[in-house]
Amino acid sequence: METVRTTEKPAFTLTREQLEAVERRGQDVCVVAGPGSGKTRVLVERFRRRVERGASPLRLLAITFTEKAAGELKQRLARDFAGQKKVREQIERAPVYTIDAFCAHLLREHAIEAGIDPQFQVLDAVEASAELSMAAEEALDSLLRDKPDELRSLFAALDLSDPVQGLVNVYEAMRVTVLDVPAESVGRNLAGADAFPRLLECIRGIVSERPRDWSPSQKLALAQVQEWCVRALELENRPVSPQHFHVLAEFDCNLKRLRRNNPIYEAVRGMKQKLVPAARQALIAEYYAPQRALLFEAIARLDAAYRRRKQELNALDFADLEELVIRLLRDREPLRNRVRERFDEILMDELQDTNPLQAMLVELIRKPDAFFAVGDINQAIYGFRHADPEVFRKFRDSIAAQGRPVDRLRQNHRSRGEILFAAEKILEGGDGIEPQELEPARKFTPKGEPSVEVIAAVAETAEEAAALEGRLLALRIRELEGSLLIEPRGGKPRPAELGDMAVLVRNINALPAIEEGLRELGIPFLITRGKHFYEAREVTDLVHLLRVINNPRDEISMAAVLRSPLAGLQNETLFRLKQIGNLGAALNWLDHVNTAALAPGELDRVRAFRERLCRLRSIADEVSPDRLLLEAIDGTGYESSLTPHARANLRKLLVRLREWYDARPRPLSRLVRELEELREADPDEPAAPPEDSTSAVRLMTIHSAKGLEFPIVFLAALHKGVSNESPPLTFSPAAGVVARWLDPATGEALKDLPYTLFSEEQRVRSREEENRLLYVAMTRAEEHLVLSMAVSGKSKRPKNWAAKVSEGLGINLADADNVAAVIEPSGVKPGRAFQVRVLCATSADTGEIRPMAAAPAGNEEELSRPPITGQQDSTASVTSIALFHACPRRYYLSRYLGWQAAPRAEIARVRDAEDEPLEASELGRQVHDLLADLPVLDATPQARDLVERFRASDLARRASSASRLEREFDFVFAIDECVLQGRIDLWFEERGRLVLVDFKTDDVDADSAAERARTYALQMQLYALALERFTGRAPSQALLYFLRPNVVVPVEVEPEHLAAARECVRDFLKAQSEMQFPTKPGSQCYRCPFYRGLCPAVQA
Amino acid sequence: MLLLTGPPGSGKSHRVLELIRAGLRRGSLDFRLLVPTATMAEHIRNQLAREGFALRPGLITTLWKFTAQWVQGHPEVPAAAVDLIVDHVLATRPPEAFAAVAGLPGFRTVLARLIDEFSSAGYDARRLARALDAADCQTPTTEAFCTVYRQVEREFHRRGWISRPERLKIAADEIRNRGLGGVREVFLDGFFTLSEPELELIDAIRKHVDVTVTLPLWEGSEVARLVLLRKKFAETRLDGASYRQPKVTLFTAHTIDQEAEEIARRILEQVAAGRQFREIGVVLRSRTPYVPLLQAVFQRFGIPARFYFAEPLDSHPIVRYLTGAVEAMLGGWEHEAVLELLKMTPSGFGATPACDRLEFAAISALPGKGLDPLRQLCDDPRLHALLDRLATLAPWAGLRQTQAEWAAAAKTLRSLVRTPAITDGVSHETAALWRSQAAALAAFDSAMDEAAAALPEGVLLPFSEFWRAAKIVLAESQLRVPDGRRNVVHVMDVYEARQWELPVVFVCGLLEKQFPMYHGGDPIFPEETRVALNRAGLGVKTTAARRREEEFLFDIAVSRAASELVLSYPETNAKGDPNLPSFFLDKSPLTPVKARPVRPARVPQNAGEAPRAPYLRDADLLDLVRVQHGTLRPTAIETFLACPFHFFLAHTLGLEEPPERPADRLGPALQGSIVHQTLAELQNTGDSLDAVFERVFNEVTARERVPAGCRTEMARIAMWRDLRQYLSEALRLVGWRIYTEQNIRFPIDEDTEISGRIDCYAVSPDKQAVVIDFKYSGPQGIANRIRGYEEGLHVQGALYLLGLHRLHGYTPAGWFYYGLRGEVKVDGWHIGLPGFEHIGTSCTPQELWERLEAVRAAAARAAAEIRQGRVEPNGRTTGGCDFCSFADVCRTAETEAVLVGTAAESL
Ligand code: SF4
Repeated sequence: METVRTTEKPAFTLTREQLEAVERRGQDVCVVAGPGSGKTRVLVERFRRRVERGASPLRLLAITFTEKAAGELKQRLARDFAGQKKVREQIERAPVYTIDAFCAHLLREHAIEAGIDPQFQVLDAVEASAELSMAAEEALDSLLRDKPDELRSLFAALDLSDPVQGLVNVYEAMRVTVLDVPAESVGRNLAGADAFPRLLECIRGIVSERPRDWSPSQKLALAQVQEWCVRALELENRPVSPQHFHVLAEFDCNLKRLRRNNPIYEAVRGMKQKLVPAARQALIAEYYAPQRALLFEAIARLDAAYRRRKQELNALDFADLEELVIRLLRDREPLRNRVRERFDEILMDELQDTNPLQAMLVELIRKPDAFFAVGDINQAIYGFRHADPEVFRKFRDSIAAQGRPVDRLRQNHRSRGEILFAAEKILEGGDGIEPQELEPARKFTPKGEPSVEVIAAVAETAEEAAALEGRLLALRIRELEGSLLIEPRGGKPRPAELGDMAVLVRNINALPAIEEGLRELGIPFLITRGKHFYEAREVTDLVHLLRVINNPRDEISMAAVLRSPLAGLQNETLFRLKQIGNLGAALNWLDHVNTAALAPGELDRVRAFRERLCRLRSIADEVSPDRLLLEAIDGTGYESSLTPHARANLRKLLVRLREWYDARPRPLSRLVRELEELREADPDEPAAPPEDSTSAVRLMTIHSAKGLEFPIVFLAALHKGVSNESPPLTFSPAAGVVARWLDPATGEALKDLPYTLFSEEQRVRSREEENRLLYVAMTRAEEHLVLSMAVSGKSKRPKNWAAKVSEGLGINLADADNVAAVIEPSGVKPGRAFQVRVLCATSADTGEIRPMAAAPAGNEEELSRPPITGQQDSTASVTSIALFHACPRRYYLSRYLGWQAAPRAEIARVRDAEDEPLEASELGRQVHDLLADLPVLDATPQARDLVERFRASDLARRASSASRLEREFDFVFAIDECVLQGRIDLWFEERGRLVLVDFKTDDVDADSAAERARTYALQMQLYALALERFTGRAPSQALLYFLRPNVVVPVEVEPEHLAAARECVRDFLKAQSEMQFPTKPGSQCYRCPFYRGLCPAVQA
Repeated sequence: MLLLTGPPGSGKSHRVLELIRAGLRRGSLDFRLLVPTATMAEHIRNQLAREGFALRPGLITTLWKFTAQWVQGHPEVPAAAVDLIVDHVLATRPPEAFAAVAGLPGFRTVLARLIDEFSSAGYDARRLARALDAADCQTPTTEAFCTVYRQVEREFHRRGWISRPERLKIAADEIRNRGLGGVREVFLDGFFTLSEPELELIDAIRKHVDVTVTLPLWEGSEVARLVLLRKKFAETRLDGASYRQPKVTLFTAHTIDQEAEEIARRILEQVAAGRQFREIGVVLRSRTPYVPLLQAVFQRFGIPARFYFAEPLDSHPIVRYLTGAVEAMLGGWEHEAVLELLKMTPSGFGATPACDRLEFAAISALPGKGLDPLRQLCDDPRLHALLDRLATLAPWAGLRQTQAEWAAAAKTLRSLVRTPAITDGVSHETAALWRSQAAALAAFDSAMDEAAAALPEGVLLPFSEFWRAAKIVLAESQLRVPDGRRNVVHVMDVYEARQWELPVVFVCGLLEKQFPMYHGGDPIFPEETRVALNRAGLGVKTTAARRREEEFLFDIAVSRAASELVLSYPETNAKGDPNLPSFFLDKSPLTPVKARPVRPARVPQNAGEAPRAPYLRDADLLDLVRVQHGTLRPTAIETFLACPFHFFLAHTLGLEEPPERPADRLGPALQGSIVHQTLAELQNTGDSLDAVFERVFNEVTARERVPAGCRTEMARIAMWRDLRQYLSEALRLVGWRIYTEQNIRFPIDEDTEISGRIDCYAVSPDKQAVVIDFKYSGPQGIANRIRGYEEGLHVQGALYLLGLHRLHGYTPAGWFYYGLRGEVKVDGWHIGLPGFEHIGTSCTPQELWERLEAVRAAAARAAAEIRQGRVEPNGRTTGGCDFCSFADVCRTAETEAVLVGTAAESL
């Protein structure tokens, strides 16, 4: 094995705890890596050192969370081993993948075992979701056909307005959490399933009670309950029916009217508060058992339909990749062993963000004591995508259980200590947060003011408070810009710039108020938002243009385009056009428009647009949609009306269109439909990334900030929570399929028992995850953290995170209007004290409102189109030039463009064709081959006869006695820049003179041969030029041998004729370069296959 | 015997050409220069011809063509035949190991590619099987592969076809026995390496004449080099360094399209400095992703370029059109499919107003089948002619013919294509388009012949069987559109580039996975098997070998430039994530420069953002507005109050939305009208809800062609549930007389008349009136309505109440909105009606009057503003934009913010 050395020392030194993790051997390694603790560094370093010590990079499997991370990992390693060719090459091929890429790779290798097409494509999330929805609809449609009544009763039973989406929810959740779509799970022993019998038991206990010491009114109230009890008891042992629900719904008792503190009261209270509602829940599942069974059938049908659709597309979705690999490895032990043996170690990043299926997969591929995983429960924030931090916890605990060390990276190399202490204080003891003290390890110069701030905007209404928060935030950004000194890594301290700041929010709905605040103060910002790319104006303009190209009758699209800078028409012009009828059709009827009344320039604009539209429509299916759009964009200068950001979006659209079209060319009509569906689906489609983001504040969601860090972080809208409403139909592995049903008696929504379990699960999970999200968000800040919130209402009670933060830091907002203070939170651990600057304001003095600075003008260089010359073909055949000379248009149609003539039947109508025994061209071929002594198996008598005529001729005798003779002499030579090719039938040398012969099988008689010969003169002269180039001499004689009449016609090949022939070549080239191919009507038109077809000539 | 070796770009071809030139100058025509590709041969011939030499084309030719004279009567396997025969074998006798995947098209392709790979390396099925046995790596999969391979070979032999190695072998035998006639010297140039059969042929040639071979020095050619050395070839090594030393630049661009634009900018810079386009080349590792991009960018900046790339035949619009016609016929002329076909430009009908009308009419009538109903929708003779021609295909589905007859029939499909109106004086791009159409038609015809050639001769087949083969050939065929223009930038892949030496060369896309390209796993011959086969003496490609081949290709690409080499890559991918630059760039590190942003020079502006005047000013048009809007519906007034521009588009212009597709037809509007109609009929007939609703629902959905399906069913259930709920909870005005769906028309001032239709109103015995407006919307919708009144945006119910007073003298007692979706929500104003105490706002008759008057005044003001031509978009302040279909027309939406980063998944 090659001895390896790194070419350079790593650019950093490892801390002791990092080094231990890197060097730990002989066991599975679990690295609990707090934020900013250098976990990627540890992973890379471990990889690097293993390779240094002789491991092959091809035997180390690294699994990263994103493709970006995989790329970065490879790049770092490649840099480290730059000087060692072999290792470097192996690093290029090293298995550094995301989990999906790893699966795809494995599946391509084992497609046959997996039973899939080896050339499968992977659907992206948008495509997969569209297919899944269609499959769900298909499944339900088929159920409706096969079991209409049953499906109707299912729809009527569910508290659900969109069954397709409901089904999709269930299925999607199943796919990433369990391997097999589970069969119906009725009969699951859930707590509470026996609620109805327990209710009856309770009823029996009180139905005959006659308490003596109760007042008459209390007795009356009890009697009413007992009356109900009698009715309820009648339900015993009866199959569940609507009657059950009616009775249960009728239970009504005002507990205040009963006597308290006695067993009867307690029993009735238990019934009211627990047993009756629980009985309804328990009974609903039973009542709707058939519907529930049908739900499972629908899921199974959806599964089948979705699989079939994907098979038709030859595609897999992300979940398939994992599922198939798991099945493959689970079911085939030898293969599993082979895959395991392939890797000496598996290194995995962000283990806390894996879902149960991914965890299953990792279990299958890893061998004992060869797994190195990095993660941090406190940073697990992908539960909504079914990631399960338990995976990491179990792994960590299993190592600890073996008495082996778990590596913990506690040193934080990112943030100022105060920020870490604040995070720790606020989240101390919070659900889902594991206690972990981070040690600030990055050195900062102490600064005079606190690094943590809280801004609370207080106002009457929530809207006002939010708007105020936006303004206060913007003010603070302006204050910090240029005044707060920051210390970039490896750089000198400098004043903060806008590009150093990020505003993070949890809920995207909080953004408008913040944007507004920034806009008011003229602060440029970039915003991370996962949606609405297809709503950007530049995108809609162009999509409407495509729609109009497809069908100008689409009036809304037409109006959008006409009013856009692509046409730039005024409302009045639209009005006038619309007077004619359909807006699009009106463009064809401009004569009917009172054009004189249009505003100046409008008519020109309408005409220009009409022409452009016509042209675009004529090539709509011939060129890719991006090129159609570019033609319009460049023709109108549309791009110059856009901001740089809008231009980035426009480019993104063009790239997207180009890629779609190139991958699967489709008619424009289909493309516009797909675009429309896409826009309606409003997929997560981020807008184009900007090139230069140094001079703008970034606005983003916390999820998209994961893995990033910023010198200054504003964590805004802390008051704003997210809706945790669960869908009416969904799935979790613990609860199974859960649903909200409609109470058959009251029509109220009723959760079934599994749903209760699911809700509880959800509640716990989201509580934990929201703490972790806050933790992740706060720890993004390097030097300065601003926490901001809006507080409204009389009580001024902060909500959601705002409450947690205020409480954690000990800030009381109730009586803190317009306060600016520095506080020191109490109850912190020793050595972890910090200060917080608190601003609680009811107004914001933004001073003079500065309008949003105009977007910087594009600094693009304008390039003019170059002059174009020399577009003629670089080569030509002699016959092409002759044909051009005979009729430029015929040459153009047949040779230049290559169009076939109309079927012969068409031509027959315009000329008197005599019956020919053989197609002329075929006869010519046979004759030429026979004359060249080539074998012609199917030679006709006519051809043999013609050949014999020549063989018996004088010319043949002369040739046979020539000193040199060449037949079928093909050649290549150039006249000027044009390379000419051709083939001379025969030439020979006779007493030092060259004779050039060409055979013709034209159907002419002896008298007309001379005239026909004129049409061949140029061809012969070009042959003569070729011969001259070969032999250094021009031929003395050039003869056309017309075989049918058996006559020889000489062609002039004197120097002046040859010079003229050269000139003809130049004309030919010029015509090509300028694309001028006039018709040459004349008698030859009758022999021309294009006559009255593609050729417009009429005078012939 | 000379073996010229050297790294790429060391001048091997240059040396050979020098020898040839010297010979030509002496007048000797007794040499042959054999090269790997036809374009390379042509390229050299043209180069020499332009230098003034006269040549016989056969002197410089491909190895393939050179062998033609010795293999007459032995046709070679046609291009797509391997796929076709593999398909046939898999369909008829799939080996057990392939049972699960035999029907999958990608699997067929994999097998065909592998057979190609082994066959062109000279390893037939038997030899492969032996090697697998020898290497002890035979698995059920490789065994199955060998079985298929053997069957494919058998099929080839049955048809008399020979493989390329067989062809070389026959030629070698012939040459060995018969010599080479008058040839005295043979050169072989341009080969990356030489396979066993090629080496055998060289050996045969060398028996008779002098041979010079060039070979690039790289691992892949090592075996060939050693064989030649053993055959007594004397090696001369050329040193790469001394030959060319172009200036090298590396640039990076933010995105791939900016990279292409920078290439365009640099080309234009070169041209402005006097360079010809033809002196410039762009070398790509592969067609995607750069070809379509460069095509677009070069066209944009007016750079003429020739792309030396074949396009997949089946993606050409003409071929898609013809295939679409056949598929539409096989699918029974589904209207969706036929419409798509008619709309395509090759139909000649697609871009006509008649087709535009037909499209909308047909969409309204979807779903549908058959050609005749389409005829009824449009009487344009062009359409009828086209449908007639399509109708001639219909009998094919039921016919059985021989393969040749089917090919002939399929070739008549070209009559469906409308020939373009060809003129001269057009741009070269337009001419290129026509050329490509002609070429596609010709290629389509050849594909049909090729399909026929692979099918059993003389057997009567159903069309579907022929078409299956035809589709395989179309999918496997490539279309090369002739382009011989002289002064163009040459855009080519690295294989084509090997023969070129150009003053300026761009090599772009230098990213990992693009250059070097990564090759996916092989499901039949995995890496270990390939390594083992190599050990057993079968030279097949391993991953490591492919990696080195990539490096060799890179060396070729970067050695094509004589004076300037420009390397480049984009920094970010489509998601905005950083790209991983090609590790090859580390070979000689360069400091990258940044691309400069460019755009085409501004054309004289004939468009641009239109002025946004808040009022129409044109007097004629204002007259028209006055006439048109003398009478107004309350809903139209509400539209105006919400947004005058919306009103202008919807009511003044009356823009129509395109017809709904079947799935969208049962939208909120139609559901609303079903609910309204049901309520009216319930009132009028006294029938049960179930009966009335069922009748109305069926009637309306049938009339509006709403397709049956789960969505329709769900909507039906929801509507019925809502109606039932309403009926069970409806508040009654006991003793009042109810009127439903009554038309009404009355003036609100001297200029404005209101007309409309009242959903429902009730009149008490003492002539008090209450207006009830049903809305099929949820509680939020009703809340918005009520708020709308407070904000002066809504007028409908109040105006109707006023109308009833004006027309019938009823005393206004209140107006209510009933929201029926999801739950019943009632709100409104009334004079404290019994039973309605907790509903809406109760007020005194006087207050009610004041409200009515305020509404009337607002409506009158709106009407006056309408007549004054107010068209200002205003929805952003009134909340009118929420459900407006004109958002893209009014251009008021905020679009300044830049959206960056990744999806905010949780939100
Ligand atoms: S989107 Fe808003 S502003 Fe534009 S037309 Fe519609 S309602 Fe008016």
